[in-house]
Amino acid sequence: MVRLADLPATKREGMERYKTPCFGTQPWVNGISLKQATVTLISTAGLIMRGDRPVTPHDPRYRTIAHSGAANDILMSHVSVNFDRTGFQQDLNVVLPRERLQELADAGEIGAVADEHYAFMGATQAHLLEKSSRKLAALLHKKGIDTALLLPV
Amino acid sequence: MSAIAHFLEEEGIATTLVALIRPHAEKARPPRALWVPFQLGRPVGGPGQADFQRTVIRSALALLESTPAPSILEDFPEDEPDSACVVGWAAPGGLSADTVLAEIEALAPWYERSKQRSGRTTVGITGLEISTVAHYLLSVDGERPLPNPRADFAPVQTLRYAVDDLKAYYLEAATEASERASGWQLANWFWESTQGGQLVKQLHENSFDHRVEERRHAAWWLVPDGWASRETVERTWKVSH
Repeated sequence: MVRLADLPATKREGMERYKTPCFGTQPWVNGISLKQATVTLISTAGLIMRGDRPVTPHDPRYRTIAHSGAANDILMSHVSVNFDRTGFQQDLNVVLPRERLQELADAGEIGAVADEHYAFMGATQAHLLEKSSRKLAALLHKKGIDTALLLPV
Repeated sequence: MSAIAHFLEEEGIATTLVALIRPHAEKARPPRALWVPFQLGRPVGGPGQADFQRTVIRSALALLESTPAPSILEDFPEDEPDSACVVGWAAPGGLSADTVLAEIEALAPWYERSKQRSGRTTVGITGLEISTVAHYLLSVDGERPLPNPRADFAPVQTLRYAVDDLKAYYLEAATEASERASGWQLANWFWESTQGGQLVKQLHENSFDHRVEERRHAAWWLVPDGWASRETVERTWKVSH
């Protein structure tokens, strides 16, 4: 239920005012075959590992989450209060569907799941993310990860 | 989210994303996006819905094998199952009490049961015991505020994360005690029926005219729009951040 019309009026107005980035180019990577792809998850939920410092708004750096890390060690430090957290509290897969992705890999629908996933703070401005996104891309190339599924909250 | 996809794709990483706000994806035009009509915070569907979550993920991944186009934005055709409010739902008796500390005590068996059953808790951003969290929040705007229990955090950060831990404690306990309540119903219980919710609302109210600028910014992230009056939300918009 998140058609804009379903949101509280004040929240809807905030969403409508949000400055969406516009880019002058339309990049497109060709030739991906899911059965060969190594897929990582990228969340903008401000996820951190238990004991790490929470992510503050506008911090553009990404955090790394091991695919096999304990679910109990993954916390959410997103600053916004305007989204549901009860789903995440009951099931980590709602925000970071590691198990679902693994099931697709086990079934041969995708090539492999990356050994790491990544989390950004969604409460930021698009241009601040450029440097860290390009840095992450370099890391993904180095690790042989060619595909990313990005999930907001 | 769209920006990250754009930059990754420019660097040669193929991306596909789930979009929760369709107009944002329409404007930002990431390479591939699947719009889903789900509640904010639930990009692949609700908790425990493994089959549905897999279907959403499959749909988003399938865009990677689409015919090249300047950008693709598809709509996921189904709503999240069981997301509607349960008619007649009320929080089980005994979850709320006269004070925050009494509520924490009343909720403790449910919270512990949840943790034991699932092997997991999302409480812990502050790294503090829940009683320490509560005592700090209860004192912070009083005549004798307790010292910041996380001296390595700015006071306003401790406030923010303490509120997160308090909410997570209440909601994990209430979820364990409840049957099939929707996310909205659980949140509504916290904000409208508990002393914990009232405490956070008061901290929110106190933030607007606070003498410390950083604390005034806290007005932005203490109470969701759905549980604040229009007047309060409009006051929030006037606080620069």
